[in-house]
Amino acid sequence: MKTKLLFILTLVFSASLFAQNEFPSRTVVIDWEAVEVVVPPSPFQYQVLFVGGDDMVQTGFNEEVPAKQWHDFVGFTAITEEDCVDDPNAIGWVSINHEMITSNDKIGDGGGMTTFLLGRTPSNDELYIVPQTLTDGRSGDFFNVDFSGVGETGMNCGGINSNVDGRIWSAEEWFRTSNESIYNNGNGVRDTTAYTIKYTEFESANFQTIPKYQNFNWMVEIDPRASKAIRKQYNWGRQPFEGGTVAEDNQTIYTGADATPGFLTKFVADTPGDFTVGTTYVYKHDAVGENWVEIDNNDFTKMLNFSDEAVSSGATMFNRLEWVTIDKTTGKIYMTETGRDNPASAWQDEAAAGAVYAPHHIQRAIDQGVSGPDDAAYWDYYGRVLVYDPATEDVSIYVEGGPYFSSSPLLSDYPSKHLSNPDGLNMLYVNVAGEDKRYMLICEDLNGTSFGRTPLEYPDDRMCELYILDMEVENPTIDDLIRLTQTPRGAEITGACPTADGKSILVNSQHPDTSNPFPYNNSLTFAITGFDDSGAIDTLFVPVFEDVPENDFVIYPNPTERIVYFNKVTDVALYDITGKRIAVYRDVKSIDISRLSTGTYLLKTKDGEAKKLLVK
Amino acid sequence: MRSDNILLLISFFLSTLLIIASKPKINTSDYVEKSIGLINRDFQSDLQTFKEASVSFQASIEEYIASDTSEATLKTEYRKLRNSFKKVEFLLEYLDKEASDRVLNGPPLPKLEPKVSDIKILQPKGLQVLDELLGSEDLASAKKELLDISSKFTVDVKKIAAYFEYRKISDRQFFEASRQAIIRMATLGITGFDTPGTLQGLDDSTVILATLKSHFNEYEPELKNVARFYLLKSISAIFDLGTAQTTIGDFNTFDRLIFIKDVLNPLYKTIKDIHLALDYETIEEVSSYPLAVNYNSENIFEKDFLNNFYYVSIANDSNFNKVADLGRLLFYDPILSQNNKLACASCHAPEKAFTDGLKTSYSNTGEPLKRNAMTLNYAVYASGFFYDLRASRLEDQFEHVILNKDEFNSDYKDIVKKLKDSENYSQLFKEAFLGQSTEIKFNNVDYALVAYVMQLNSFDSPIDKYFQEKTSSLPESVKRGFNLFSGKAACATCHFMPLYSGNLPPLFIDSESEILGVPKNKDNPLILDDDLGRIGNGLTQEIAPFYQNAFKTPTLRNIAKTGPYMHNGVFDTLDEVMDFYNEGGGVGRGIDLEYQTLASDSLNLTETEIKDIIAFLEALTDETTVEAPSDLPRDFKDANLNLRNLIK
Repeated sequence: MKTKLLFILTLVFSASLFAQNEFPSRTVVIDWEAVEVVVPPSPFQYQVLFVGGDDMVQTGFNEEVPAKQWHDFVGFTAITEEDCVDDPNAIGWVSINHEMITSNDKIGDGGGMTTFLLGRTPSNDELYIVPQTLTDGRSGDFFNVDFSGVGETGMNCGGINSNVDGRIWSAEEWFRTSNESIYNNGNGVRDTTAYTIKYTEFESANFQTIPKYQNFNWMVEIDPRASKAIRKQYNWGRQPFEGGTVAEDNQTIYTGADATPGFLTKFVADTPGDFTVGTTYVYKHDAVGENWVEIDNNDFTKMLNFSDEAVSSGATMFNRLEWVTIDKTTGKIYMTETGRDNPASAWQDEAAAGAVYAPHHIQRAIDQGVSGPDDAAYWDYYGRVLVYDPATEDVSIYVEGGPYFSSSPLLSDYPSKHLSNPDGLNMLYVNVAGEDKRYMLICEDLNGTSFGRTPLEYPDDRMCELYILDMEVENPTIDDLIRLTQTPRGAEITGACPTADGKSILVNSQHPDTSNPFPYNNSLTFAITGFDDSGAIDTLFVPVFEDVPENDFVIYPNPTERIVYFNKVTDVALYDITGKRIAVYRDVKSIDISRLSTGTYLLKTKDGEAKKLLVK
Repeated sequence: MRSDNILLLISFFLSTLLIIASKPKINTSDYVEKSIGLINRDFQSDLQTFKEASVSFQASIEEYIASDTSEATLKTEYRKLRNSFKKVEFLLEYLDKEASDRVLNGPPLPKLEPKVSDIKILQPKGLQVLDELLGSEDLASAKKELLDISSKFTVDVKKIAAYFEYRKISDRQFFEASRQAIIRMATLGITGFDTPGTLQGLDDSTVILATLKSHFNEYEPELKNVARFYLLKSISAIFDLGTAQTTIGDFNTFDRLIFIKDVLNPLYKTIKDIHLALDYETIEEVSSYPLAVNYNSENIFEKDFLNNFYYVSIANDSNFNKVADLGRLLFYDPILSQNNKLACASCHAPEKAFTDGLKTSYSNTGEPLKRNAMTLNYAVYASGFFYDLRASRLEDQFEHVILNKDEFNSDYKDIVKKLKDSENYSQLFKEAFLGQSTEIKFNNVDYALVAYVMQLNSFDSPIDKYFQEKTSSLPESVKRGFNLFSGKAACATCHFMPLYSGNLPPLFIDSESEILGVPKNKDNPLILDDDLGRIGNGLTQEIAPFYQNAFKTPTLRNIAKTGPYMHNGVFDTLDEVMDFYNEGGGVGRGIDLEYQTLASDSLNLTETEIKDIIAFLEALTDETTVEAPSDLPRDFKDANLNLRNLIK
C-alpha cells in the first residue's frame, strides 16, 4: 500500500511541476502539430585553408617547419596574364601575417608572414592550395616570407593590399623602444647589433647606422610570388602602423597608426607605382589651407621620430587607427578607429605639445559631460569607423560603435546590433546577377568584454564578429550592419579579404581558446564562398515583417544562413523530436540555429505559440 | 472494502483533483510580477543605494581631510560602503567581470592594459586599494590617495550603475550568480583576499548571506507551486546557520572548515536544487561553450567541480580513453627523446606526484637544469604552464621539452618517423584518432600526452573526502591547519581552494604568478635568485617590471611528495618553506625587491601553528596512486629501439 501511495504522490508532484514554467524541460506530444517552417542549408560554403601549428611552411631547400600562429592580415594578389602558372585554375597569391615574435633558426627570428597560391575548382567554386616551386628553389604548398634581407620584422599585424595591382606591404603596430624589447631575453630577435641601412632606394637612409630596434616599425613591401621581402619604406616614417590603402591613381597611399595618439598619414608618389620617391604628409584637420602638413622624408631623423614631428606640426590625434581601405568607386577613404577605454593619460602630453584632438572626440567628450578627451573620465569603449573624403579633406564618423547604456546592449540586439572595437576593414566588390554591388567588411577585435562588448552567455570570453555593410545605405548606423560570421570562442577575427573575383572572403581566426576542437584551437585562415550567388547575401539581412498582427508569431527563415528571425521580441524554447527542451532564449528577436543538427525541432514562445522547425 | 483500498481511492481522488487544479497552463505573467522580476527590482534599488554610498563615502573622506570627522567615523562610513557593495557584488561581478575587476574590486596590483600595441600599465583602482589604505597604520598620511581613489570610484560606480539600469536578469543568471557568490565567499571572502587591509571578510559574508536569503524568499510562490516549498525552508535554515557563524566570528579564530562544510557546500547544492526544481533553463541550454566551472556539480570539492575539458582542445567523446591510454605509453617511453633515454617520466615520476625529488632536474647530459620539476597532478587546470607561464596550453607545453637541446633534443618529424616504425604504435594512433589521416600526425603526440595528464586528478585526499562528506574524521591538527591556511597565515589568498593553486576563483580561467623573493641559496646574506621568471618568458606582451622574478603559483596538492620546493628547489623541507613565508619572504629577510607581491611583514605564526599547517598540507596527498604501464611496444624494425628501457 505504501508504495502505491508514494507512486500517486509522485504523480501529483510531477504533474504540478509542469504547471510552473512556461518552458517545461519536457513537453507534451500535442504541440507537434505546429506550423511547419523549413530552414534550408546555408548558400555559403566554408573551407579551412591554412592552419597554424599544423600546416608545414617551406623555410629553405627541403626544409619545413610547422606554420607560425597568430594569423592577422590577409592580402590577395590576383594572378595576371604575365604570371607563368601551370594550373589554369589558379586565381592568386594569399599573404598571411603572423602577429608574433620568436627566435627560430629555420623560420628566421622575429615576426613573419606566409604566402601560398590559391586555385578555384570551376565546377563547384571550391578553393584549394596550388603547389609551387619558387625561384629560390623552395617547393611546397606554404612558404615562409624571407625577411632577412631587410633586417627582420616582429609582430607582423596589418598591412596594405593594393586595390590597383595587389601589391602587399606588411605592418608592425607593436612599437619598439629598445633592443631589449626585440631581443626579449633571447626569445625574440637574437641579433641586436646596430643595423646599417644600405643599398636601398632611399638616399637619406642609406649608410645610416641605427640601433636594431629602430629598424622595426617601417612598412615593408613583400613579393608574394617569391615569398620574399622587397624593401622597408624608410620614406613613410617609423610608426606603429596597422593599415593602409593605395588610391586609384596608384600614387597616393594613406596609412593609419595604432597608438594613442595615432596619426593619419599620406604619401604621394612622384610617379604612379614608384613609392620610393614622393612626399609624406600628416593629417591636420584645422590647418590653414590644405589639411595636410608635409614632413620632410629626405630628413631621416624626422622619419625616425615621426610621431614627434607630427605632434610639433599640430597634427590631428586619433584613438588607435587600425585598418584603412578605399571605396574605389567614390575614392573615399575609410578607416577603423578601434578605441581605448580611457585614453586621457595617453594623449594629454601630446595635446599640450601642440597636437589637436579629432573633432569627433571633442564632441563625444561634450556629450559625456566631461571636460574633454583629456579628462580621466572620458571613455571610448567601442571605437568606430571613420571616413575621409579627399574632396573636402574632412574626417568624420561613418559608423559609430556601441551603442551605449540605455539602448545598449539589449540581448535582442546582440549579436547583430553591437559593434565593438572594429579593426580589420576591407571592401568587397561583387557582380551578382549582372548588378555591381559594394560591401564594406568590418572585423571586430575586442579590447575587452566589459560594457556589453560580449554577450552575457559568454561571461568570460571574447567573441569577435565580422560584419558586412551595403555601401548603398546612406548614413549607416549599426542597425545596418549584417553579421556575417563569428570566429571560434576567444579568437580575434582578422584579415577579411575578398578574392579578386568577389566570390570568396578569406578570413583569419587569431589566437582562439584552447578548448575549441581541432583545428579551431589554432590560428587559421578560412574562406567563405558564395558572395556572387544570386540571393546569397540577401539571406544575411534581417527581414522586415510587414502587416503582421502583434499577437501573431511569425518566423522567417526561408531562405536563411543560420539565423531564424521573429516578428517580435519574445522568450522562446527549442525542443528536440523527443520533446526534450534543448535551448532557451530570453528577450530575442532572432536565434542562431547553426549548431543544430539536421532534423525536426519545435520552437515555442512564452505565450504558447509554436512552430515546427525543419533543419536541413 | 479494505481500509487501504479506501485510502488508495481517496488519494487517487485527491491527486486527480490536484492534477486538475494544477493543469498545465501557460504562464503569461509579466516579468515584473514574477519572482525574478521582484529580485531584479530589489537589485536595482540596491544598486542605487550603492551609488549613493560611494558619493557619501567620498564626502566623508573630504570631511576627514578637513578634520571634521574622526578616523573611527570614517571607518564606520567605509563599512556602510562595503555593506552596500556586498549586496550587489554577486550580480555585478557575474554580469560584467571585467569592469568589476578593473574598477570596482580588483586586486590592488598594477596590470597591463590588454590589446594595446605597447606596454601600458594600468594602476589599480577600486575597493581593494581603498581597503589597503584604510588598513594602514598611518591613515592620516594616506589622505590624498584616499580621496583620489574614492573620487575615481564614485565616477566608475556611476558609469556601471548607468549601464545596469536597463538590465533584466533572468532566473538562470540569478542562480548562477548566487552560486558564484558562494564560491567567491569560500575562496576570496572569508580568506581575507578581497579585504587585504581591514580583513572584513566575515562582515561582508554576513551581508551577502542575508541578501541572498531575502532574494530567495521571492521564490516562495513559485516553489509552493511546484510543491517544493521545503527547499526554501531548508535554504533559509542554511543561510541562518551561516549568519549565526559569521556574525560572531573573529578573523583569526573563525572555523572556516565547518563554515564551508556545513554552510557553503550545502548552499552550493541547494541553489542548484531550487534552480532545477523550478525547471528554468541552465547554461548548457544557452551556450554551446563549456565553462571551467561545471554547473552540474554539487560540491566545490568534488572531482566534477571543474571541467577539465575546458582547459584543453581534446573532444570529450567516446574515444578519449584510447587517446589517454596511448598517452600513457608515450609518457613513459624514451622514444620521444633523441637519444632514446629520456622520457617524460624521467623528471615526472608517478610515485613522487610526478616530480623527480631533485633540487632542479637533470639535463640529457646529467647537468642540473634551471628549474625544479613541477607536479603534473592537477596540472591541467591552468591557463599558463611552466614556472614562467610561457606556454598557454598544455598541448604547447611538450614542444618546449621535445625541442630543448638540454632535454629531449628531438623534433616532431624524427619522433613521428620513429613511431611509424612500430606497427603497434601506428595502430594505436589510428584507433585513438579515428577519422583523421591514417598517418601519425605530430600534433597527436601532444594530444595523447595531454589526455594522459588530464587523468591525474583524483580529488581524494583526506581533506577532499572530508568536504565530500565521505569521512567525518579529520585529525584536529589538520583542522587547525586548514583554518590557519585559509585565515591567519593567508596562504589561501594565493593558493586558492579547491586546487590550492594560483588559478583564480570564481571562474578558474586565469593562473596567477607571484613574486616572493626566493633566494638563490640558503647562504647569508641572502641574494635574490637570478632567474627572471615571467618577464623572461618570451611573450612580448608580458615585458612588465612587475613580472620580473614572478613565478607561477603551483598547486599544493600532494606537496608532501613534491620537494624540494620553489622554482629553484632552494628549500628542502616544508618547515623551511613555512619559515620563509612566516618571515615575509625575500624582502622580509632583507632582500631588496621592489615588486614583491608577498607581504613582507611577519605572519607571526607560532611553532605549533606552523606544525598544524604542515599537517594540513600533508593531508592534501591523494589516496589514489598512479601506476606506470608494464611494458612498451617492442615491434620496431630498428632492433636497437626494442632494447630501450621503460622509464618510471
